[in-house]
Amino acid sequence: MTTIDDQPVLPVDFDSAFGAALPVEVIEYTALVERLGSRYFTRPQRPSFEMMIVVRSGSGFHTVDFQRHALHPGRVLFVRPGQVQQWHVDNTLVATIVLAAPTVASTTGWMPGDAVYADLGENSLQTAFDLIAAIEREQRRFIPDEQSVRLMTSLFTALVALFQRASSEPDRGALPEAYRAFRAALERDLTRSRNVRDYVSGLGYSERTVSRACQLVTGLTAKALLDERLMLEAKRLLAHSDRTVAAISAGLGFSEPTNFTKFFERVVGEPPATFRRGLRASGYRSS
Amino acid sequence: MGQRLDNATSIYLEGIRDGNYVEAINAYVGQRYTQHSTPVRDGKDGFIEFFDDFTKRNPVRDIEIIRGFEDGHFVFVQATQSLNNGEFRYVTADIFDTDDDAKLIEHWDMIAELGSTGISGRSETDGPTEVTDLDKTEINKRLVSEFVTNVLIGGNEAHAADYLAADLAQHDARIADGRDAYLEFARSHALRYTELHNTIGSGNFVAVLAASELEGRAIASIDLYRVDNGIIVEHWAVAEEITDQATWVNEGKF
Repeated sequence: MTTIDDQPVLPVDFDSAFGAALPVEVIEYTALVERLGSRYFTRPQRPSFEMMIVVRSGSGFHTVDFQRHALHPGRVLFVRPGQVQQWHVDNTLVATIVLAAPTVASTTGWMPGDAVYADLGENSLQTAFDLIAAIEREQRRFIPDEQSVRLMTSLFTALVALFQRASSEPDRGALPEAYRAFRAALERDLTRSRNVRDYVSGLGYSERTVSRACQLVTGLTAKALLDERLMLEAKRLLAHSDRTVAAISAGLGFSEPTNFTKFFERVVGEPPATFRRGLRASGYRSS
Repeated sequence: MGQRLDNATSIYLEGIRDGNYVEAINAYVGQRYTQHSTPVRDGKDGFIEFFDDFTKRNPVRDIEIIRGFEDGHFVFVQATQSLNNGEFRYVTADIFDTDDDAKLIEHWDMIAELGSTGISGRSETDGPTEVTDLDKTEINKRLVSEFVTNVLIGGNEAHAADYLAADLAQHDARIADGRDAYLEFARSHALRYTELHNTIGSGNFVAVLAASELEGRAIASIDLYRVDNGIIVEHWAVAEEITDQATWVNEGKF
């Protein structure tokens, strides 16, 4: 049953002022807010494109997957498809936003648990500004041919590499292959099973190896990681969709909504309906 | 350990101890310096302004770094200060954030007067200093953050044994050794943590920046835990009462 709390999904898709063929677009933070109107930002969103916010001056907040992140000069936020974001339009900041269409985004490869922000030092920040200036220049004279698309895609890929280098954990080394394989399986098949074995079979690693790798990287066992990832999906759906708790429960593979509610409360700390109400009540405000 | 820790300890030693705070702030701080030490303004200018005065008031400064580690872009430092040949003695705990040049960009700190030996017979800084078990960093951070969330914030005393060793070595001068003494102190002083702001760790050490209430007063603290074999075996703490907002010159302790 649909309740009064349920509002239609916000259609947040890559909608460039320059037409659908533009693969990457640079726009100032305040211009984007103005283009879409402040009403647009009152609900959480789950965009299908990649988005970077590069802060030049001022301060504020941006919420990604229910974590509020401070915005500071030199800080870059990277929001990826599937993540739920909330805007704080009362921010007083000068920032540049870079949007990349899903066709571009799919080339960068994203894993949950990746850093959301990076603080760029003087040199990296200058490189970021140079890349943004180049994208802006190319977008002004854009014609939708193959080489122009490749050029802009490459500039964005460079920006992503700059972000990933700055946000990677120093001295941590590469992530264990068993962990990467398990996370990829989770992303691909998330709602199909709540049993670790189903995700591990076919990966070429034992359950024990996968679980140890998960603990090394996240501190969580494979089962706890699966539970947490499943509840993140539940939170995302509760936040941005108009589906009822029962429908979300069924969609995530739970046989009974009561099981889902109990499971959600154990992992998240409050029942799904309370979580959804809290999100609606807090809106987009910083406080 | 790494450039980030080096830059943080250099601010202390070259900057504050040796009095070269202008050179140090310019060498080791990045494009911003967001300050949570409430008497110090944001930015390089705020730091210089504060230490112009501090070094005049305290011409003799002895500073010793006791413990320090890096976790990603964050740095933890525990130090002692003896000012004017022992006129003032402090223990401090600091957390720094850094940019991708390893320069310092944000700073949280706690400072407390260094007392004499505590009830447990330990000092506020003694005990192991060596970082070990580097492969257990994330597991240990998870253990400590669950302890803070479930027991110190959630108040589930019954779960304390899952996290704390019965013979916990206690460096908080007000508390005796042992799990029970810790819980009893929390009960009798109405100590309740209210928010966990950051958890950073390296191997066997995990530091927690948190807000709490003690007998109705708002407290900010950086607690340091040592984990051995999946259980917390040692605890150090530096806590401050949060002063009235009118006294702050920045955005506050967190």
